[in-house]
Amino acid sequence: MPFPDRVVWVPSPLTGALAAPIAAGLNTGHRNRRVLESVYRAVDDSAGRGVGDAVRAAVGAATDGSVHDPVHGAAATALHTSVTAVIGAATGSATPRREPLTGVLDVVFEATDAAVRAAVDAAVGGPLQDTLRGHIRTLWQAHLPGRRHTAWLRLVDQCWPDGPPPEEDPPSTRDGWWWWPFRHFVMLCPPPAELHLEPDPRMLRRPHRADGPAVVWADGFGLHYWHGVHVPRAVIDDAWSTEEILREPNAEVRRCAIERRGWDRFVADAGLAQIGPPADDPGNPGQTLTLHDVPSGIFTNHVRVLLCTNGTVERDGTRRRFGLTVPANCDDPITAAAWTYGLTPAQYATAQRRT
Amino acid sequence: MPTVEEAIAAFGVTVDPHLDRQADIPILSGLQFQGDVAVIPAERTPSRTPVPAGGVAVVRGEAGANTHLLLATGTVCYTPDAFGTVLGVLTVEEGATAYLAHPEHAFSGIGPGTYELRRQREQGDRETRLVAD
Repeated sequence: MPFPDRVVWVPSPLTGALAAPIAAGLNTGHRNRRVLESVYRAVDDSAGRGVGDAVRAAVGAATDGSVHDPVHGAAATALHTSVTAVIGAATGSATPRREPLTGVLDVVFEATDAAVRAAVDAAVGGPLQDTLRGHIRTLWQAHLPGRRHTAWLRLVDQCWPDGPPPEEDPPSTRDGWWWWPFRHFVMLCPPPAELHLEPDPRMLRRPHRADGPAVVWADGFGLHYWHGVHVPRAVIDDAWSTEEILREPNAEVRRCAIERRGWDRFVADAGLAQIGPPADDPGNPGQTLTLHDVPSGIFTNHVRVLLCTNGTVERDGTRRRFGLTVPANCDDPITAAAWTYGLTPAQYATAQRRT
Repeated sequence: MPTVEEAIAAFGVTVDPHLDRQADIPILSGLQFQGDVAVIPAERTPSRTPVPAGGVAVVRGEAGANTHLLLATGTVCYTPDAFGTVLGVLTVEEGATAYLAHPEHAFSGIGPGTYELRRQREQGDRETRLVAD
């Protein structure tokens, strides 16, 4: 089996997950323009015109001038099938080197898989079904994880045992992210164009961004992270109602949504019961501390939250209000504030200054 | 009692532009807080490791920003003691003054004595975690 002669770069994993099955479908002789156009429109509607245009371009590049006959086309997925076995063998034996950034990319890789699945579902998972939508639903996952040099070389051997290797270098560890090998073409996706990280004591670095996607590809497809936790876009956009936050089944995502909103707003919106009277914050003249109950089911465990005010004013002249979660056995704001520094309430009360 | 402006000039460490340059920096020997860092008078074996001229980052922020930087005039010693929420032991000799500098909190002045520096924590889902301000 010769190596595919069309090598197509796609700007994001989502574009590849949509374009590769469509191109494979067209290569199997699918000629219904009406269905093709309706799939493109569904992609535009759910993923945005940027991804839609990228899918059209990638499909064009992978199919332009190719042989549209069912006999050749029937083998469209054969390569993928045999390659999957090669990759399985290669990844089973090879231990990938784990560098700090590789660790982050591994985490992002898994989340990308889930995000692409959800986006593909949103585009073609509805009740309306046809041949192309069927292809996308079954073949979106026909990608192979990139960043595995040895796997690529074994694939080349398998494809072209008696011939020369392809003139282009295989995707290197840095270039390859996902790729979709088919009979007539192979689609390749580069790693994310942007990766926003923050220091993390346990992982060294983790994805985080408060004002947009932390992981972004060239066509705008991206993943949202709050301090290392993969969250829906609505969490970062602070677009959920209090009810929607409380209905979120994943406790970790719920916590992120609350932190993104800010505990002071959430405590008020959710009407969390106040524990004890407000207390003057020692060393922070004019500011008070309040303690509120956070029943189990909101933060997984039963905890309480201490609302504090910064000792220093912000650029705009206001003082930042923030919440700190404390054990549920803290019964008044001073005890709670003291706990956050490992002090006794009597020690905390002696504070002379807070900035 | 120096002003913020004088401390910036003395140490070459600046703070956010909206913070009052003419404000006095109180030199205190009691409990004080700079955001997520507490300076706690403590009965601890005094530190014998002098703070270098460039200071010591007791909490290092992202990309160098929002670092709590320990600075000294006179003999000030600091021994890191990264154990749980304790950051280290600070000893300010008689006649000396220590300062904690932070871009958003300006300066905290610390008078003679021995202190424990601690990081603020909060209750996570399963464990306590450190607070980053």
